[in-house]
Amino acid sequence: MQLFDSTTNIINNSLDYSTAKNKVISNNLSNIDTPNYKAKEIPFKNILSNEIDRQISAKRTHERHIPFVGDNDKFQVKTKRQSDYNNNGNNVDIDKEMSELAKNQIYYQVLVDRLNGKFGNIQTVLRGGS
Amino acid sequence: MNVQGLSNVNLQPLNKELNKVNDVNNKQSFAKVLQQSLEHINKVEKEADMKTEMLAAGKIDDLHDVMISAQKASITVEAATQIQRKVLDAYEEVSRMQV
Amino acid sequence: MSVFNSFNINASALTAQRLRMDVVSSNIANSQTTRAVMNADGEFEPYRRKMVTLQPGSNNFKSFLSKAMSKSETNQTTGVRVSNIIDDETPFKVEYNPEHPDANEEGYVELPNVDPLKEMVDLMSATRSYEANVTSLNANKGMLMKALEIGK
Repeated sequence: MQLFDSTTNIINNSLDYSTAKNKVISNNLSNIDTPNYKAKEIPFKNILSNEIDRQISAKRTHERHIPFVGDNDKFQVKTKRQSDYNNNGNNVDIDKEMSELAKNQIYYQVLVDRLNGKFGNIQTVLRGGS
Repeated sequence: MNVQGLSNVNLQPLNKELNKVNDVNNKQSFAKVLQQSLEHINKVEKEADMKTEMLAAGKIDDLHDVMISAQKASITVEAATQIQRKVLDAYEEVSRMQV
Repeated sequence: MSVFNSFNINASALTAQRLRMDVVSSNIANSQTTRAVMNADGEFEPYRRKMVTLQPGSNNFKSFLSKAMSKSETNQTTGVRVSNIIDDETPFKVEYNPEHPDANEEGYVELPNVDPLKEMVDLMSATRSYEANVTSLNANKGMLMKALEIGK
């Protein structure tokens, strides 16, 4: 019996993405004055397509072969190397990072709210309205 | 004191109602109504789920749209369970009734 | 993510305005710099005042492509981007100061064409624009947070 539908799963994956992104933003913000530090980001990919991608991952003929890229880690962290924002080779854009932080915060809160709603719905039905 | 009998009470309307309850067509329509409302609940739930998935994928323009459809779904489910509880309560009440 | 489109717009403006402030700082800091670049004759030239030119962010290839592919104009607002940092071509200020190492034969020194008054006005303008964008971003965030409270 499946109590939780695919939406719950998708929300779960999206929350994983949000957490990973928060980590990257915090890392960028704490390295705002580090010379030669390059900003990192996790590109927003459709979580759904991410799921599909993982289901048809490339087959390794031996388990001790080097895993294919993206096989192990769920999200790819990319480093922005092509730009320079400061004299010391740092390219963290604080305004962008702060707005990403705000976006991520709201995204996370919406997803948590929806997850609560879904669980609440199931509980309402299970308790039979009493 | 002069007590008058109840001979002139008209029971005709009550009999009509009883006939209506026993009507087979009406029984079917209750099943239909139940079916329809369950389908409606399912539809509202599915819509809220779809909007949530689109939000997670970043394809939604308005946040309030998602929240409102989610609240609609949760209120619909709540209402359905409350009605179910009330109906069961009523049934139990009737079954306990001394005949 | 299209929910956060307005965030991106405001963030691009914040970045652009901060770059304007950086350029103003650079202009003020270099207001006495007489040896900024070496010209073709091997002589030093004073610093030239820099200016930032802005353009709508939708003036790029990606937006033209999406415009051509979809008929709607609703999602064409993509904020602002810095198109260029250009030099102010007004002539340098000239000052009579024969003791200066960069003075020419007649004793005149070419100084940068930086006008502190202009720079202060630019700085104020950039600050106010920055504040306006922060306000707009906060208002947007407040709206989204309020939308989260629907049904609470």
